[in-house]
Amino acid sequence: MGLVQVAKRLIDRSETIKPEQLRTSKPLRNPEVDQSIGDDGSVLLLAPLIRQGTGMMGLMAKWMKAPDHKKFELEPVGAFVWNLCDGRHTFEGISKKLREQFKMNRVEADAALLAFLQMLSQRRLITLTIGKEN
Amino acid sequence: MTFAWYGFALEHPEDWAPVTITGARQEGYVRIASPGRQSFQIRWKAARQDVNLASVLAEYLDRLEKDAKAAKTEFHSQVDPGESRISYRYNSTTHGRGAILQSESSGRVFFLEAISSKGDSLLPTFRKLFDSFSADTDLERWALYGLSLSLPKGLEVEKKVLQAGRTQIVLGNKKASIEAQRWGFAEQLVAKHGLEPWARSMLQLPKSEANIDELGVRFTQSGSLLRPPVSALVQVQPERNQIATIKVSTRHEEWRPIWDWFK
Repeated sequence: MGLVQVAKRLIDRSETIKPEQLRTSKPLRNPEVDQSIGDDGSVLLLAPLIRQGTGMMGLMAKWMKAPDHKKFELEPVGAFVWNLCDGRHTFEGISKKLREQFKMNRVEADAALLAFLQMLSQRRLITLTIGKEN
Repeated sequence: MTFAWYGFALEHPEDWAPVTITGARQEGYVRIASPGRQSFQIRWKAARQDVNLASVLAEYLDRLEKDAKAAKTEFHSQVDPGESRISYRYNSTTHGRGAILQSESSGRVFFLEAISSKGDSLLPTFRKLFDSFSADTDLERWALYGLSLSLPKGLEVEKKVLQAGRTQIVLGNKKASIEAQRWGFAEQLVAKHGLEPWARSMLQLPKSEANIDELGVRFTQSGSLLRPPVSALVQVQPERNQIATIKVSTRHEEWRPIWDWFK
C-alpha cells in the first residue's frame, strides 16, 4: 500500500460496508436528515454537515458562510427505497418490494440495491442494523 | 424466464439468473444460479456426427474424480444410459445430476447438469430445466435477463455488458453488426424523457428519421461511403417494465431489423 492510500485511510473515516453485512442489515433513515417530497415522486434530502467547531476552522467556515446542510435528490426509484429504510425492512425485504414494484429481476435488484445502500451509508444518510435476519 | 445462447434455449425460474457465460459457438459454458445453493450448468462442444457420448461422459466423470482425489474427498458416480441421452449423477463436495446429449442439427454435444453444494434432491430441478431445453430451431434465440431475440442464424457474440438495469449484447457477422439492449425502469424512463427522445439519445442516432407506430419506434439513418446505413427498433415491453432496442449497421437489405426479432 502506498503512502497516499495510508494517508487517505487515516483521513477518510467513512467505512465501507461489506456486501455480506449489508445483506443481513435493516437500513434505518438518519433521523437528522430532513426530507421533502417532489411532485414527480422524487425526494429531496437535507443532511446536516458536521460542524467545524468554535476554533479557527469554525470561524473561517462562519466567515465564508459555509453551508450547514448538504442536499441530495433521490429519483422516484431511490425515493421508493428510501421510504423503506425504516429499520423494519431487511435488505431482502426491500429487494423483494423493488422487484415487485419495478418488475426487476432478482440479480439486478440486489446489485442496484447493494450499491445504493452502500452510497447512502457512506454519506451517513442511513444507519444499518447489522445482524441475522428474523 | 428464458435463457438462450448460441442456438440453445431453456426456461429457468424467475429468481434464477445467469452468472457465468463463457465461450462461443464451438465450445462454451453457462451457469444459471438460484438464490440458494443450487445451480444449473450447460457445457457444449462441437462434435462429429458419430461421437461416442459414453466415452465423453466417462472422461468428464474421470476428471471430476481426479479433482475429488486431489482435494482428498470421496467421489461416487452413477451412469444411466437412455435412448437419446445418458443420465448421470455424482456425489462429492458438490452433488450433481445431469445428462449428456447430442444435438445433430447444431452439431454439438451438451452437458446439462443441476448441482448443489449440499445433498438436496436435484431431480425436480434437473427435470424442470432439462425438459425445457431445446437446441434445434430455425431461428437462433438469444435471451437473458428479460432481453429476448430471435435472429437469423450464424451470428457471433462480439461484446456483452450485464449491468443492473441494462443488458447489452453485440452480435455480428460479415454482413451486419447488431447491438441489442434491454433497459429496466421503462415506465419511469418514458415518463421522464419520452420514448423517442430517450431512444434517439441512447442509440446515438441524433440525425435519424423516426417513425412511431403501435409496436414502437423505428429509426433510420442513411449511410455514406464510409459508414453503412443504420436501422434501429425500440419497443416498450410493459410486462417486464423494460425497453428493448435493436440497432443494426448493415449495407444488406435482408439484415434490416424486423419486429419479429423481439421474440
